[in-house]
Amino acid sequence: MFFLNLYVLGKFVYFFKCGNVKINMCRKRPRNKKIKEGIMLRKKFFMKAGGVLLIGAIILGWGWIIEAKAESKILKLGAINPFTGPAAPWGLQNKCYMESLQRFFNERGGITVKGQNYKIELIFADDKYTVVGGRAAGEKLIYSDKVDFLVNSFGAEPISGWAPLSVKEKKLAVIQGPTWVPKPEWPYLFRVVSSDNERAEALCSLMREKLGCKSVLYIATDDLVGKLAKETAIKYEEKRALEVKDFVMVPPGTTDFYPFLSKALKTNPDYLHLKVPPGSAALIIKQSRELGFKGYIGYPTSMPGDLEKWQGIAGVEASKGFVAIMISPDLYSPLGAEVNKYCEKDCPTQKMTDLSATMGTHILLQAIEKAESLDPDDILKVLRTTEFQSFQKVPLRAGGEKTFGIKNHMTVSVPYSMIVGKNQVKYLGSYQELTP
Amino acid sequence: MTGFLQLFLNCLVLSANYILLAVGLTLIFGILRTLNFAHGSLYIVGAYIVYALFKMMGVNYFLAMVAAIIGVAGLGIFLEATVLFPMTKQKSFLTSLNAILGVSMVIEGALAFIFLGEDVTIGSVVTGTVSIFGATLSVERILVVILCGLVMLGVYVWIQKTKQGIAIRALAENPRVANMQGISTRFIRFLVIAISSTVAGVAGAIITPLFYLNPYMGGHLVFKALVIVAVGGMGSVEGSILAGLLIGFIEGIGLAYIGPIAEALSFVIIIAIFLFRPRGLLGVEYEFH
Repeated sequence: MFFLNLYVLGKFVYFFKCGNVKINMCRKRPRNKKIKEGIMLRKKFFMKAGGVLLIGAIILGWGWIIEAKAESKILKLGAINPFTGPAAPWGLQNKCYMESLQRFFNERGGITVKGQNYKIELIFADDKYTVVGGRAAGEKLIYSDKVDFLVNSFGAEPISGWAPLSVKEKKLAVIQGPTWVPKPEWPYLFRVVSSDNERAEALCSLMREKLGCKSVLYIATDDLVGKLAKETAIKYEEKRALEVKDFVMVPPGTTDFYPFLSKALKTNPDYLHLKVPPGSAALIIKQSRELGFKGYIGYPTSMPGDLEKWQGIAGVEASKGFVAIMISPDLYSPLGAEVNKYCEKDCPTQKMTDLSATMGTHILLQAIEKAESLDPDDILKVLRTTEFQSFQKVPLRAGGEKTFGIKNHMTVSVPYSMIVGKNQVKYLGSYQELTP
Repeated sequence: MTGFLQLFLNCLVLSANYILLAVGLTLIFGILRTLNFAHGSLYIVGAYIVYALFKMMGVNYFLAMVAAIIGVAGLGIFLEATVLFPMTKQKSFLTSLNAILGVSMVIEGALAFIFLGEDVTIGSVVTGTVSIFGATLSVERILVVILCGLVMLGVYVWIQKTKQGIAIRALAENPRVANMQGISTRFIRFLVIAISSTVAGVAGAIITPLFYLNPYMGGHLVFKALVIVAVGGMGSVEGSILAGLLIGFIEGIGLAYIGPIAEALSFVIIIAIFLFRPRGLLGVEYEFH
């Protein structure tokens, strides 16, 4: 439109300056009076026409400016995930699903805030699943990439690396770390996921009620995540109603678990409760089966989406009887089922991934639209007071004031399934079903 | 009795892993007088070659292992020609150290780019467990211990009995006199790096089925190997074997009965060794290149 206006204006100037027209204004004035009058009339005509054209160009140009304003802006979401290190399987599957989610929402027009349309742009940064890595990733996204919000981060260690930045720069972050705990001193961190304790409670209930287990051996990495998991296990021991045989803390990066397992398995637990990265979980399964353990093994964490690859480490036979958080399409709402189709198409090898990892981002986008604002305080108010539709059939509401001292937590139901064969799982129950 | 035997076997497997890594490193240090921080990366490259050929292309495991050995030996020779030997002309030790660390990072980055950062495995080549007086060990682990023993024996016999081995020992003891006797420093350097890389490649190939792989494991492994080389005595193959056994057993027993603090305990013992024997258990005087 702008160039059309320019063209029109240009033509007008060309007319006026002796262009390709019938009347040549540049010729010498004729002496004849009538001809003089004629020329004057034509001058006036052209001046009027020029004025109309100019006004028209201004109006059209103004329309172009308004139209330009109405075009989509970009809403930048920064996702801090591990793409290297022990938690890389989780990070890589998250990335694939988040990119699918981005495509899903952008194809449906993005989101609209006060009449302004926003398309979503995801920017990823690798936190290496460490505190230092989390800090570096946070600084990159906030200061270099200038993201509007942070989403999808997990892992107590990397989150504690970048969390102070979110408070300092007032960057609202909707995260999905089950072990990290919401705190009043980090008001801009909102968690949309079931907590570690909620997951463990559901798993213990499943083991107890459905699989007949009476005792448990906890195995956790000797880092912040493992220590928090141990604290929670001790605190809720009575509620979980299982005899605790032992807590085994393994150094991060351990690959040979024989020294731990050969002693710990002598206590004859009914099931092993693991809080370790997925590669370590696979090795523990393999090595515990070699040492003769025949019981169940529970993992209150999302499985890496590529189950076949993971089973390559653990062994197909050894991994039978392994219970973890794995996909269950029955739990999805119609919207969730639609999103899942997108993810299945974009991430064909990540079949076991549950959509709960991406729900926080969906909740944030809804909250932004409802708040009609990009201000973190306005959005936080909406997050804390509104019921949200999710990818699951059950709507979500914020809570956590009693438990964490701040209402910055939304529980998401997680599905537990058991491996029964090569790339085959059997659904056992969800958090809501197992902990009424 | 069963418990003690199980513990002993666990520690033996742990020690075998450490010794395989440490011996290659100590060979390089003994002759090249260089701390090869890229040694862990060579181990990982060997493992990934086996993964790529056996798992991704369906090549026979033993052929893949041979290819891994040749590939890693070739890479080691390439590193010697392009990085390690040119760095000997630098006056500062830090320059060569930085160069080798850089090589290690390049290899890690290349592997992460090709294979991504996630954990992979070639899977178990042999399955099954064996019960020895009540103690259980997988067949894979028994093979690792046997192969480790064979590799150590082979390296030891080669160093002690062959002409090239004698030449290597002569060069390690006194390079100038060795040169005067007609021993080519350049050739011996290439030979040592090839053997050392071969041992790293073998270690990567045989240990891979036991655990998983990711491109960033090399750093942790080379750190462990360096500690063993230092404790055993820089440049001493026998010392590395002894230190590997010592640290493997301390860690195995400590981790089973004390927990994660056992790693700290093993360092306390290492410090005590250095206080009483600064050159290591079987070490000789050395200077860095």
